[in-house]
Amino acid sequence: MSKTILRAEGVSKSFGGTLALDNAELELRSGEVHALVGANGAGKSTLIKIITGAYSKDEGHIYLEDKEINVKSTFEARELGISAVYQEFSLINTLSVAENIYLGKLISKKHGPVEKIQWQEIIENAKKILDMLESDISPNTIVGSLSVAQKQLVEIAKALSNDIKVLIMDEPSASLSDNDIENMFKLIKGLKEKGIGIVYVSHRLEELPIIADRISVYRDGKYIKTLNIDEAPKKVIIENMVGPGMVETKRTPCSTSEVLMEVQNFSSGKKFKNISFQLHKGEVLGIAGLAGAGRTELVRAIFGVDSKDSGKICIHGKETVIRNPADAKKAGIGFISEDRKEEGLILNLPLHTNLGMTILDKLKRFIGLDLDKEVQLMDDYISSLKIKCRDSAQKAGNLSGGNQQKVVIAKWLATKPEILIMDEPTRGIDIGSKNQIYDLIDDLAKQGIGIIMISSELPEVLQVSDRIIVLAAGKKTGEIENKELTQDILLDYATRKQAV
Amino acid sequence: MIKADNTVVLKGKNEVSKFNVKDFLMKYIMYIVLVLMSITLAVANDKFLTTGNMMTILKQISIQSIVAIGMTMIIISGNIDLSVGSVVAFCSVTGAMMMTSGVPIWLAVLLVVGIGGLLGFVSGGVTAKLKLHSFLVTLALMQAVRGLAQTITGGYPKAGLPEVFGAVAAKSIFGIPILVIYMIIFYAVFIYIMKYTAFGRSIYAIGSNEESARLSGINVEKVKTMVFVISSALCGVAGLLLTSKVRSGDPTSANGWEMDAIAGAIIGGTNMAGGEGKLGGTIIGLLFVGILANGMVLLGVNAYMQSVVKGLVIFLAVIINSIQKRSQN
Repeated sequence: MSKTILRAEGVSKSFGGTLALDNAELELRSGEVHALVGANGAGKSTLIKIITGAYSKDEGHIYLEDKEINVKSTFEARELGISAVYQEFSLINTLSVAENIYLGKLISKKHGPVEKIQWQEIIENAKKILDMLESDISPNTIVGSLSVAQKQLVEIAKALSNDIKVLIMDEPSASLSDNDIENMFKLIKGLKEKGIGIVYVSHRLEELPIIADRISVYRDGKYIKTLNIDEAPKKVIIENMVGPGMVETKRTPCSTSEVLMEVQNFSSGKKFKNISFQLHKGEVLGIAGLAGAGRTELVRAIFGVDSKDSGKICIHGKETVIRNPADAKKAGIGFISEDRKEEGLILNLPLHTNLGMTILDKLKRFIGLDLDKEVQLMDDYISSLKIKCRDSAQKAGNLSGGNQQKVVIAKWLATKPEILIMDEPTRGIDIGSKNQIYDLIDDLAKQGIGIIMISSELPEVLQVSDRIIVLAAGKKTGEIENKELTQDILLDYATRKQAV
Repeated sequence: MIKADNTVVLKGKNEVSKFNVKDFLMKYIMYIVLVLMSITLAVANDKFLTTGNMMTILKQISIQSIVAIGMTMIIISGNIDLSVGSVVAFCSVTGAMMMTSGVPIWLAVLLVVGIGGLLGFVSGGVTAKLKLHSFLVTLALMQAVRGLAQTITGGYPKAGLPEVFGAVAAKSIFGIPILVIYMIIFYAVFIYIMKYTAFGRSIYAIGSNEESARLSGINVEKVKTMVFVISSALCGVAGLLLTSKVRSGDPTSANGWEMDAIAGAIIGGTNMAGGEGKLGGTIIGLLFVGILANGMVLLGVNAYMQSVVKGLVIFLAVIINSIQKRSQN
């Protein structure tokens, strides 16, 4: 057994009276991948933020290689060899890869009073790190032009530019395609061999057997237990995460033959070509595909967010022109975008104001707005969707991911849509909230709403959809009833070149 | 649980209901400073705290305060308008020229407000449609419109207005100057618009997160354009009041008003980055500057020094605001 590199004991932290972390523990060995799992609000994020110095702890001790440490800033933690890669990247889009990697510690030389940054050296060093990660990204590339997967790699390179002992990865796979995830796993294995201890936070339980050595489970701010991966099948992990009495749901299809919406020959440059499909009343239509397949681009064009080159939409058999989201909303379409923080919500505004944004026209009175109705509606959704919050006046930014997503759903349900487009509705949220969202999708379909759901998680697409269309490189390569489908079959379609 | 939450809602939207001296100080510091400053001035000079002097201060800020309404709305929407001073001057001279050449007063008023609105339509429309930075668009407009005002008048003030029009700004009702009453009415209407109408709410949404507002089905282009139209139409109103007050249309008037309006909004807590701000705050900001200027005149501070003090106060207010914001988070 390898030695313990990082140990946390009895760590507690409260925010304004609520205990976010209660006497938590963690023991990380060198060269292991230690997964932290737990529902939203279980305390994982708080714990890692304390370890990296982003938060200060109220109580408890943290030991790095048996020496007690008391870091007060992320900078200090990095000096000690603790680095983190967060879900929200800390990269600066307008700067080059090399400058991002060395940001805050640019190598410079003094010539008398004049300081000169050694660009050549920085670029060479950055190249070395990138080579070590087996990446062909040029250090001179501007970060803004990179894909999400490449940015993540740069983020990891940035962490490695310090002499690190502990690497914390927060939901690293959340926005990656399966292909990129595989590459990332290879990379993680390389880091393990160097004796780096890796704390791996993930909601994707399926990937844990592949990557993790041990798993620590947290629930409601408390440490529950640590399991070896071979004694922790998914069922056991879920039981520990949510406590007793939770089961995975399987939905009952309620699709009808009535065509709600027909999308005909949608094309937009290189993003997607000649896509047609129908959506039925009460149907859940899954859109599957690898990253870059054009799924998000397609639904954004349907909703009128981005322009398209050609194609038309018929709703209830009548051609409907959609030039912008306002038109789409009028046509009875709702859109839950993949980026709830940047696009779905206004984080500094109260929940009820966020809800009201989509229904301002419905709140209109003879003069002014019926703001009591807005608060009432939000209160109704808080109870019906089980949104965990203080009250409807709380700022959206203070809610956990799963609850934020429910607010986005609420704001579109308030428009009484006939068609609901959900782009990655469960990204980055915990299994408990995920199941609630699946139940909700089921309920909405039963009410006759036609739902288009994009998901990068194939098990999710298979669990929720009645029918699935698969996109690959902007073309529709498959349209299949969800009967006896497996992930392998979907992957096969997702890697085809020929459109159907 | 739900019961408890509801009582919080009824109590108001504050985070903490328990009284806390530090929070209280933080929240009301601008008011406290305003009161302290007034007390100091009242002690230092017995003319300060007279009804007459109070009315003078209010009257002095009244016309600018109407311009500041539009500016506050524009800043909340995430934009800026540098052209307001020029638009006020242009509207002032066109109004004066129409009335001196025999256009009926009512028609001249409508036309001038319309011209103001049209100028706003240009700056707002270009900003929204072409997705340009409003700073650049209105910087250009500021220069062009000021030049236009000077071209059509040959650079000289236009006097000789009908006597009746002078009364529009000169009257008092129950001892309150009518300009102050206009100010109160405009603020009441626009505070309501910002808080309780779809338009006002859309402005906050766009200023906070334009993409999110667009995806929620808010017509961002239309709302942005409208904000500029309304702001410039208000400049038209201010231009007319100015013409009435000084009985002439001067192409060099209202110089630097854009900066005064921005200062009022910022001192009043409007966030330069958009999404946050209140018209009630703007009026406090303007009062702050107005009382300070008045006090310095009473105390005989020389004009150059007055400007230095004003600058320092604006700087101080900005720092206080940023500390307030940080303490909230």
